[in-house]
Amino acid sequence: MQLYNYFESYLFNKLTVAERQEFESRLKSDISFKEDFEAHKTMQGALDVLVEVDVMKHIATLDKKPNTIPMKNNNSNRRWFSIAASLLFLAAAFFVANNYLEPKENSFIAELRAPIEPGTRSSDEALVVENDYYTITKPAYDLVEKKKYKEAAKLFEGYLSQFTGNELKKVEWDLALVISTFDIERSRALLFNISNDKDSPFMKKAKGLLVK
Amino acid sequence: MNTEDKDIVNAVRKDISSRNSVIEMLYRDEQLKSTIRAFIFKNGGDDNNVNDIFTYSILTFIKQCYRPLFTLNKDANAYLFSIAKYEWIRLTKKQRQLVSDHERPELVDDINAETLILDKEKKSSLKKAMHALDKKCRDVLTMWSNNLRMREIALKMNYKSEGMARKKKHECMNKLRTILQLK
Repeated sequence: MQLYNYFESYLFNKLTVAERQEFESRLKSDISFKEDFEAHKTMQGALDVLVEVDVMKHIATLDKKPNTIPMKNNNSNRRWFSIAASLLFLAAAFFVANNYLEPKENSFIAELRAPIEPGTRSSDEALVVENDYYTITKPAYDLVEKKKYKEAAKLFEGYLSQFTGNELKKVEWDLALVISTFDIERSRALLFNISNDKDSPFMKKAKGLLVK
Repeated sequence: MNTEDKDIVNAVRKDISSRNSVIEMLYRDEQLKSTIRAFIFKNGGDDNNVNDIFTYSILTFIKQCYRPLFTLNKDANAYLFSIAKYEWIRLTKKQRQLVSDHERPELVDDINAETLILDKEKKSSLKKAMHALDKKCRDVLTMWSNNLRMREIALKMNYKSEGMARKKKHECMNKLRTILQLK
């Protein structure tokens, strides 16, 4: 794992308990590692200072500007109406979900992370997947975003022959997650394969999901 | 997964205008503000504190959104409220208006507090470092920090290509590292 990714994973609690303990003991024993970590936090802090200046400028303008965005208001009638409407909607959604075999969201699909567009701070170089991967697979992730899981799964299946290495492993992983919304048994089978694939960066995650 | 809240993070990352809309939406969210106000009033604060902490929580949330691994798995308002709570308890502890340890809130999504807190001294030294950079570098890094794409940076700075913008960004990052005396 590259250092940038490793540090951010620690800061954003994406490490397992064991990995976290290893990180913290390395901080204590490896001076150079500790220096790198401090430097990372300082650089990110410096970039945040720039964001802060920019955001504060915008907030200052808001005090002078009339409200242009429709907001949640305190009108209690409207509130009760929306609660009633939500309940009605939930009842209808429950009926539909139980009577038609449409794909359903679950804890598996919640694990899916679409790649971030390369070339921005949100996709710092160390985390960037190859440009080709982002461009080629974007239609599938767009379908996932729209909850069109079956169509997305078809596209992911098509990508299996187009990638190798870690990109292929990502396609396999995301395919297993997408399939879970409409065919949980097949999804489990795919996850089982991933959990036995020592070369897959998703091996541990797959094991974790199967335990769930 | 709450799509609406996931969308907020994506909207912040999308572009400046979309980010500013998110800021405005949060800033004008009376429900969020009154929840924070109630907590701060209950814990010895006043209106000035409410405004500071409310702004701080929005600011912190926006900065988090720009970090690649940040994901919002829960309600955005709950997340902002937990930032506000955390910061208020930290400040009051610092001022020795102590709040007992058991009231220390857990952060939503368990994000390491180190990502949220930058003490005043450190922040002021970082601001100085930024001023030591030349204006062009500051502009490039500001755009980069705000998630602008390289092609947009190139366009705004009149660089010939995306590659040129990328090169400039690396140069500026190195300058900043030197100023901050990092290896």
